[in-house]
Parts: sequence; structure tokens; C-alpha cells
Amino acid sequence: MASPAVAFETEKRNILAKIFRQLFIPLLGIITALIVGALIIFISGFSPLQAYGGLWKGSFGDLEAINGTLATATPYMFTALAVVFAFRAGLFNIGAEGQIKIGAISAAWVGINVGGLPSFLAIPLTLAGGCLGGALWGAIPGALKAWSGAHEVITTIMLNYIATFITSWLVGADGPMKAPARMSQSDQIGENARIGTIVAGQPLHWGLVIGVTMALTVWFILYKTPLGLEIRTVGANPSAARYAGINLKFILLATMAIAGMLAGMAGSLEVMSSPGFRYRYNAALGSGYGFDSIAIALLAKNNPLAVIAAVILFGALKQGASQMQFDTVAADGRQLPGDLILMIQALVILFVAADQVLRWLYRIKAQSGESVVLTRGWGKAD
Amino acid sequence: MAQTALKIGNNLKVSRWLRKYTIWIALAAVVPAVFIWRSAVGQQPVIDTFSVIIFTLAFSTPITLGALSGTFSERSGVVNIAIEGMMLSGAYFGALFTKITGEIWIGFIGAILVGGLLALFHGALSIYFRVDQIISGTVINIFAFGLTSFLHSLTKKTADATPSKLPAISFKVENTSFTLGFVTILGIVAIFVGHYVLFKTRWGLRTRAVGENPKAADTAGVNVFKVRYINVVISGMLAGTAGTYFSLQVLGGFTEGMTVGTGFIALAAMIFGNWNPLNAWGAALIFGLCITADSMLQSWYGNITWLHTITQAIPYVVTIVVVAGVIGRSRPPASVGVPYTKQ
Amino acid sequence: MRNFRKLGLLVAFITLLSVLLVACGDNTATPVPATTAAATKAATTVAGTTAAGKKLKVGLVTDVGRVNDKSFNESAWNGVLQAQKELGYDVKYVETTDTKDYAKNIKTFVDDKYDVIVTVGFLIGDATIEAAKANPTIKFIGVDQGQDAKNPIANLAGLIFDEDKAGFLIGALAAGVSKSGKLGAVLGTKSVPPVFKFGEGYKNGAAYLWANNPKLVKAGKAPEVTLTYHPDGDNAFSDPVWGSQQAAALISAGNDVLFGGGGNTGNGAVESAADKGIYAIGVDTDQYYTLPKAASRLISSATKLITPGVFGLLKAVGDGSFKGGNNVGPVGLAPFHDLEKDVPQELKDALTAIDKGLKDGSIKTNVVVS
Repeated sequence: MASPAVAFETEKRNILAKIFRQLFIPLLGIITALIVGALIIFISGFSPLQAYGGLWKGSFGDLEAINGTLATATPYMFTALAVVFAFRAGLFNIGAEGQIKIGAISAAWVGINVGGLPSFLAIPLTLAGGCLGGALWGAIPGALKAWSGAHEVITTIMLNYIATFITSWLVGADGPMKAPARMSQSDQIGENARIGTIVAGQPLHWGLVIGVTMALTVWFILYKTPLGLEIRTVGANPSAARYAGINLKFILLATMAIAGMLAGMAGSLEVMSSPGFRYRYNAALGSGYGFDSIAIALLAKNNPLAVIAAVILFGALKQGASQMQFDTVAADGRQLPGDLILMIQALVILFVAADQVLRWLYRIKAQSGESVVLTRGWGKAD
Repeated sequence: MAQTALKIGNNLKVSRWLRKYTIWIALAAVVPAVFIWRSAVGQQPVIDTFSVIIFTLAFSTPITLGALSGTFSERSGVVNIAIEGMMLSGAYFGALFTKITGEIWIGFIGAILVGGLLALFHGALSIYFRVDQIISGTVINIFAFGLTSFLHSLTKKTADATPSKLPAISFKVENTSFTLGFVTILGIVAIFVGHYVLFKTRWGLRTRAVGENPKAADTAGVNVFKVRYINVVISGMLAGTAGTYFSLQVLGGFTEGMTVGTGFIALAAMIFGNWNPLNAWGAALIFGLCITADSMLQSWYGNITWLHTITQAIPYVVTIVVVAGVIGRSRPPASVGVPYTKQ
Repeated sequence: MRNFRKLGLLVAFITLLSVLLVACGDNTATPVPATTAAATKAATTVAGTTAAGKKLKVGLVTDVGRVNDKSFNESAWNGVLQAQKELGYDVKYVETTDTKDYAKNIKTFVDDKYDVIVTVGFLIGDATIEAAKANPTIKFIGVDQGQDAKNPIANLAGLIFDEDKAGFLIGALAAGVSKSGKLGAVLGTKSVPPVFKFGEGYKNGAAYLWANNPKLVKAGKAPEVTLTYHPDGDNAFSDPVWGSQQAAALISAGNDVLFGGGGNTGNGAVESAADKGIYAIGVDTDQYYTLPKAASRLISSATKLITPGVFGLLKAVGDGSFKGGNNVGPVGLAPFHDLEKDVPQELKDALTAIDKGLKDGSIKTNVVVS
């Protein structure tokens, strides 16, 4: 499609310009989304300045706000990576929600039972329990896809529901794991199985550091290891992969298991360290993560390193929403409905992930070789 | 040798026939089963059997319409995961227009148009801009949830309660009255019409051709873009109609997020039914039947927590089992999800 | 190409226009809803000011949900609005969207130096206790949050209710008016103690009437009570379509009295029951006024008056009589309204007696929350 002249011109540009260009489109996308959001706010009878002031104050305004933003972003880091990783093998993993729930409750179960052990044993065991739970739950759709061809979109959606039912029952009214006088919560995990927060009294915990490490690890596995090459080959062209002698079944199973493990890790870390959950499994943990994680993965254009930035943006929007609602008051005393944030999220994804629209809007010419294929619909049947 | 081969062939034929009609055989078997069971436990077998049939039809309505919605879009080659968002918008604007104008049919038509409008947006993004269709769908889902809740909150819940509901047919069986809603009946009609259109008309042929091999269709003189646009809009209108089931048929008003993920279940039903309207309806009916089973078991025996968890989970487990074992490899339209570029 | 840009603009324009229309329409058409019929101006300035002479600032944090959820969040918010109207307080709310955010949302008000913070719901209890301990100068009001009766926190007043008693009363009423002897209930999740107490109370109340006053039970046999709970999940209280369908299933199984308890989920059931012409029973407030579509078939409501409870505590802050600890709010039976004549006098007398017995402790509901 690209004419030789354009390709030549692109080559001439230096690296700095390239980096700038890579950042330019996403930034322009975010700004555009905020402008459209401002219009909606204005038309609804509120002040965009007040609203965005609140949003900023709530998400990046001071150290506490930043701490909160990062804390909100942390679990999404893992679940978005779970989506990205599976996407790379051509699998559309909607199942992060089920995987994080099963991972979290497994971690809680282990954490409650190993409380007597010293920390250096209790912490790894609890984390491993959660990872294993998530991995097993994630492996189910992988195995089904590999051996029966059952489509992962159906199976992951179904498994999300099933995971919700199972975990809700476990900590529900007559459930075996329900803590006395608590609603939909398990007992607290043992003191020795807990990981503290980074700053005392603030929600941000060490999961963030592990999450960033995981992003780097996922990137490394995908692009620097033979397994990653196989995964990407399967994702790009399953039949070619089979001809190349790749064990397709194993790759599908392993990919989903690793994706599930990532989500399970997020669940365990939330139970082990998030002050918001008070070291308990809480039935609300992970609800809505399935589609949120997909949104973040799309925002990151399926790039594991870009997930770090995308997740912080997402976390900031989520974190700043309440301050925005608090600060934005119309003349008649009405407060801005918090659902506005959802619309802004949608617009950000639209303008950043679907940059064709943005280019059209600002008449920016498409650069050659920049159109990234993110998903492949349902993938080919084989 | 030849005879054994023939025998195996015949067996294969039988098993293929069984496989093809498993859904329908299973569904048909439920009716006598319920009747015998309810007679055996000394309850009211006729009423209970009727309840199961009627509720299954009712509960499966939005899933049926949603699955048909997905089928139309995807048969033409455009993935539509935005069924949920279109449904929710249909539910909201249907209620809002009904409330403002006081006329239920304006609300009903309005809901369909809003669904179509969102689909046009989806079409523009995925056909014209060649945006990844999953992204476009995700954007619409999130935006629709935000927009409907935002407007609902902003208008101080104007669409909270509509002055009337869509009509329904009422009839009595042994002094117990049953109703079958307008949208339910419309959904059943739509399935048959949709099946006919897709498989017996020129338009259907073109749609499928465009979904399988757009290049060949283009060469044969079919306007790929036009076919895709129209099918996507049809898809949106069907999803909008599904939305009215919630707000205008059952409840007579809107609440935030009232479609509770039905659009995704519909998506599953569509794949379950292998992109075939009749089979998708069968899949939707199985979902409806399982929801009914959960309801009826609760209303017959009361709340037993673990049993409740199991009856809740059954439809989802059954779906996995069916998709894995009975249907096996699903075969989506070959070009679904791939934007078309005219050479 | 050109047309496309126009089309895109058109779609964008229509979206914006719809927001605009709706926004304007609401400013002109819908008046601000009055929280109470009697808006008194008299008490305003005196009670609404602290010693320093400034307006009291009241913030409300919802449980996961919205301030206009037609359920307990809205009832509590209405209490706060009443305080704004009658006592001249400055009020604001923050809606919680994630369980993890309770502490953060409370902190939003703490940071802004609010005088009173109302937190709504059982689940937010832990975060409220922590915030109350950390900020002894701020008064906290926790709706549906009981605390250790022996060691009350001085600046935290928990507003709790004996929902089982209200449930017990409507259970007895239902047993008295049902012709088929089958009583149904559609409830939010079983995991929430207040909902569980309503449901179990309902069941035990019906059994009580049969055991102690069998001639008042219209069906002439032991009442069969079926409680159906919404599956646990985020939408347990906001799934009216499910509630409505569940009610239809119960009606087809022969139930002719239906109690809907659990936010919008219950409301859906109540409206569906009224639609089918059976007796419907509402919850929390007298739903004769909040569910006009169901009013003609609404025989009563199991009331749990959060709004006056919250208002009362807010007023107590203003006049200095605020005290920490548990405050048990009033529960009871709403009037029969249009169906007055369907309730025989003997049954009314029996209900009055039961109410009295529940209050003085001579009748026990026997509801135990695990």
C-alpha cells in the first residue's frame, strides 16, 4: 500500500522523531477525548474546569492521590497482561474476572491455613496458591480450545459466571469460608502471610513492583524466548505454526495457564496486601475486571510495556472520579454524575486504540507500517 | 470390507443427525419430563409444565434477539461484541421516549432506531475506518453504559417508570393466568424470518458471500461495504429491540445496567448455534430453560443455598459441555473481523 | 469521503444534542423533588450552625451504588437532604463504585474538614470505625452498622434496625389475607443481614399467626412460605427484571401474597405482583407513595425508616445531643391504604397485639443471624 517514496521518507527521520511520533498520537488521543468530555460536561450544565480540576486533584494532585492512583492501577496491571499475553497467541481472554477471583480465594484459603508458618514460608506459599488457582482456572479454556476446539470467548465468559457463583457461595450466607458477622468475606489470612503497603497508611502495596516486573517478564518471554516466538507464531498463523512443527495444543494450554496465573497473582496480592480488602477474600474482588482488562489491553495496543502506561491512565480516571464528583457542583446544587468517567474512558480508548479516527479528524497521514493488528475477530476456526 | 464401511457410514449419519438436533431433542424431552415429575410429586402438573414452557420462552427473549443480532452482523463479516451496549441503549431510550411522548410505540421504534444508530457508528468505525472491530465494540459497550447511567442520573430518573408497557397475550390454564409478551412473540417470528432471509434469499446469499470471501463477492459485483453496513444496522436494530424487552415489556421503566450482561450471553448463544439463527434460538432456549429451572426450583422448594448455586451455574456448565463436546469446533464466517479493503 | 465526515459530525452532534435536550428539559420541567411535605424554615439558622457560627458540613458516602438507587442509599441521602432543607446544613455526597474505595471516599470529606460524615451500609462499617477512631473531632453516622455495645466509639453513631420484627408483622398479615396459603418473597442476597432478617421474620411471622391464632389464617392451613433470594453479585439489589420474572414464577406456583425486599430487585417483584392482581408487600418506606404503579394492590410495607433516623442523628449533632453507640431505628407496618377493607378487624387487632409483644419483648421473632 505504501508508496516507495513514503517509505523512503520515513527511513530518513531520526529516532527522536520516531519516539515523538509514537507518543504524539496517544497524547493527542487523550487530549481529544478530554475535549469531547469537556463538551459533554459543559452541555450538562457543569464546569469542565471544576470537573477536570477535581479529576486531576484526585488522581495526581498530591502524593496521596498518586499513591491511590497507583494502588487502583496495580491489580489491573496483571489482568491486562493476562489479556495481552493471550491475545498474542490469538486467544481472546475475557476470563480475567474468573481467574482473579479463583486466584484470590485460593490465596485466601492458603493464607488462612498457613498463618502459623514464618513469613518467608507463608508469603510464597500463599502467593503460589493464588497463582496456581488462577493458572488452573485459566488452563480450562486453554485445554477446551486445544482438545475440543470450544471457543474461548464462550468458555471464558461462562467460566467467569461459574467462578462468581462458586466464590460467592464459599463466602456467602451458608458458605464454608464465610467469616462470622461479615458479609461475603472470608476470614483474615494469617499475619505472617501478609505483605505490607509501601507507605504506611496508604493503599499502594508491593504488588505494583511485582506488576512492573511481570510486564517486563511478559515482554521478555514474548519477544526474547523460543516459547514467545512459538506463541506469536500460533497467534499470527495457526496453520503455519502447525506446519512448522509447533505443538499447538501445548501452546494454547500453556498460554492460557500463564494468563490465568497472572490474573491469579493479582488476586493473591490484593488479598495479601490491599488495605481496602483487609486481608480477606471479598466477593466484590475482581468484579468487572474481565472487560476492563480488555479495554486496557486495547489501550496498550497489546504491548506488554505499554500496559504500564495504559493501566496508570486507567487507574487515574477511576481514582479521580470521586474527587471529580465531589468538586463539581452545578449552580442548583446538583453534583456531576460519576458515570461521566465511563464515557471519558470509552473516548480515550476510541481515540488512542483506534487512531484511524484520530488521524482522520486531524488529517494526519498514516505512517507506513504502523497499523497494528490487535485482535483477529474470533480468530480462525483452526 | 465395503459392508463394514457402509455400516460405519450409516452410524456416522445417525450420530451426525443426533448431533445436529441434540438441542431440539433435549428441549423437547423437558416437557414430558416436567409433567411426569410434577405428577409424581403430587403437584399441579399441567400448570407447572405450562409455566416451564412459557417462562422459558419469556426468559430467552433478549438472548434470542441478541443472538440473531450477532448472527446478522457476523455473517456479513463484522464482529459485534457491542450487542450489550446496544441493548442497554435501546432499553434506556425506549423508556425515555415513551416517558416523554407518552406513547409506547414511539418509544419502541425509538429504541430500535437508537440501536441502529449505534450500529451505524460501529459500522463506520469498522467498515470505513477499518478500526479493529473488538475495539469498536468495547468502546460502544463502555460508552453506552456511561451514557445511559449519566443521562438517567442527570434527568433525575425521568425514564424511571413508563406510563404503559408493551402489550402481551394473556391466557388461562386451570385458573392460572399466563402472559406472552409482544417482544417474545416478535423474537420468535424474527428468528424464522431471519433464517429465511439468510439462507433462502439473494440478500442472504450476498451477506454470507461477503462474510466468507469478500474479494470474490466484490468480483462478482456485490457491493461489500453496502452489504456490511446494512447488516450491521439490522444487527443494531435487533439489539435495540432486545433492549425493549427489559424496559418496555417486563418492567415499564429503566434502571442502570438493567441488561445485566445478557448481550454477552447472546454472543455465546450465537457461537453455540454456529452462526445459524435457528440453532442460536435453540441455544437461547437452553439458557432460558436453565434460568427458568432456577426460578421454578426456588419457587417450588425455596432457597437452599448450595442447590441454588448449582442451578445458577448449570446453564453455564451445560454451555461449556455442549460447546466442547457436542458442537466441537465452531466455524465462524471465514472473514469475520477482517476489515475489507477494496483493491 | 466528505460525506463520511459529515455523517460522523452528525452522529456526534445528535449525541451532544440529546444530552443538551435532556439537560435543559430537566431544568425546566422537573422541579427539585421535595423530601418532605412540611418544609420548615423556622429551625434553620439556629440548629444549623455550630458554636463558631458556621454552617455544619455533612458528607455522605454511599455503599457501592448511587444516591438515587430507590433503596437504602437514597433513603439515607434523603435524610441528609432533609437536614439541608430544615436545618440549613451544607451537604454533599460521594458515590462508591468499588469496595476498595470506602476509606478513600470517607477521606475525601475528612480532608475537606467536614463536620459530619454519613456512611451507608453494612459493608462500609470497618472503614467507618477506622476513620472515626482516627478523626475524633468529626462525627460519624453509620447506617446499618452495629457496633460493640460495651465499647461504643464516642463520635460514631450506628443506625440499626430490627428488620426481623417488621418482617414478622408482614408475615402475620400475609398469612391472614392469603386465600391459597402460599406466601412468596423475592429478596436481595441472603448474605446481607438486614435482608435475611426481613425474610426470616416474614416466614416466622406467618408461622406464628398459624400457631397462635389459626382462625385468623384465611386459607385454614399452615402457610407455606417460599423465600427466593437473588444470586449473590453486584446487581443483587439492582436487578428489577429478575425480580419481576421471579415474581411471575412464584405466582404461577400459586402464591397469592408477595413480599419484595431488596432495592430495585424487590421493586420489580412488587410491581409485577400488583400487575397480576395479587397482594403485594413493599419494604423500607411506605411504598404506596414510591411505587405508584403498584399502589392499588399494595397491602402494606415492612418499614424501616432510615430517612428520619439519619435526620434525627444529624439534628442531634446540631443541637449538641449527639451520642456515640447503637441507635435502633423504628420499624413497623405501613398503612393498608386502598386495601383497608381486605384486612378484617380481628386481624388488625392481632397485628397490633403482635407489634406490642415484639416491642415489649414478650414475642420473639427467633431470627438468628449467623
